[in-house]
Amino acid sequence: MKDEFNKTRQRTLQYWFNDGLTEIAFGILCLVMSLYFFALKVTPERSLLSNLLNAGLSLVIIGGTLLSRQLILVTKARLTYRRTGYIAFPQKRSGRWVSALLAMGIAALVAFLIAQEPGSLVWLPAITGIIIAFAMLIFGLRTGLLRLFLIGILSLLIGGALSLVGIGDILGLSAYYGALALVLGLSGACTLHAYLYDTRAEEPRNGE
Amino acid sequence: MANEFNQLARKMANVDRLIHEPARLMIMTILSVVDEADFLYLQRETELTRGNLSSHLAKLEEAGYIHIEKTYREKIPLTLCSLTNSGREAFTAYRNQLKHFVQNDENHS
Repeated sequence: MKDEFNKTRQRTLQYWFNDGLTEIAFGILCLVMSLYFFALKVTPERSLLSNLLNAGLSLVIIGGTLLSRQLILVTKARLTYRRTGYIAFPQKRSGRWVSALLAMGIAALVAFLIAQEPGSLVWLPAITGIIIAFAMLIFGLRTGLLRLFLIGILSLLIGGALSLVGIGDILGLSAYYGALALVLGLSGACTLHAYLYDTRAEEPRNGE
Repeated sequence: MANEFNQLARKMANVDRLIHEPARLMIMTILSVVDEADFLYLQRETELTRGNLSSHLAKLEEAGYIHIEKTYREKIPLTLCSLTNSGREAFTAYRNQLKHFVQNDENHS
């Protein structure tokens, strides 16, 4: 019975990934990160804009995450609710704080490394790839969705490849996030296409 | 030992029959892992017809196990279902009862 209960739990967790919208939103966030790091690279050092960009990394991550979530909710309302329904998960307050602290910790670590000697920055894409791959592994284990594992593997390969060929530091991060945005966008778009093909919008009836 | 097992088996006769019905068990299981779910999601997951699902939801609501609310999310009308505290307690008690029975069955075999 525990196995059936866990299977039901897993199916509900898949709800956030069945329509591909979460991957598309995460892909957009990665694109923003890519553009941010590219802007950071091309902006003259010690300029006002460079200082603002350096200080704004946390804002970009946290603000981007919040906006992505809102984008997912609004798009799901238009596409998903009428096709496969609506569910809301229990929001654990401690979970939100942990996620926010983790995001800020990662941002602080990256900002700290950027402020260090250029030589230490070559492994940034690889480190980022490992972090994202770990997150994908957790999502994949919770939902049982194979493509999340594949995205995690690609994250490792992209990050590792960029670091090994010497395209590290900020430009490497820009390239990493750009490549990841492409992967997520393609994965999300294919999933969304399949989802729209397999489902149709239901009209609400009286009494339901 | 056989007598103990017989006593346990007889206790199973007291299982909550409202939850024990397969369709309602599916509904309760889904609602136990989410905060709330709408009618369409429950219908797709349980593969029940609209009328059948409505009937089962009405029985669960009558027993006080679930709460049904007609509302809006992002301007979309939804019929939302969620477990009440007594529904959650009843489902937990039901699961523990079955778990206890299965564990004792394994011990006796």
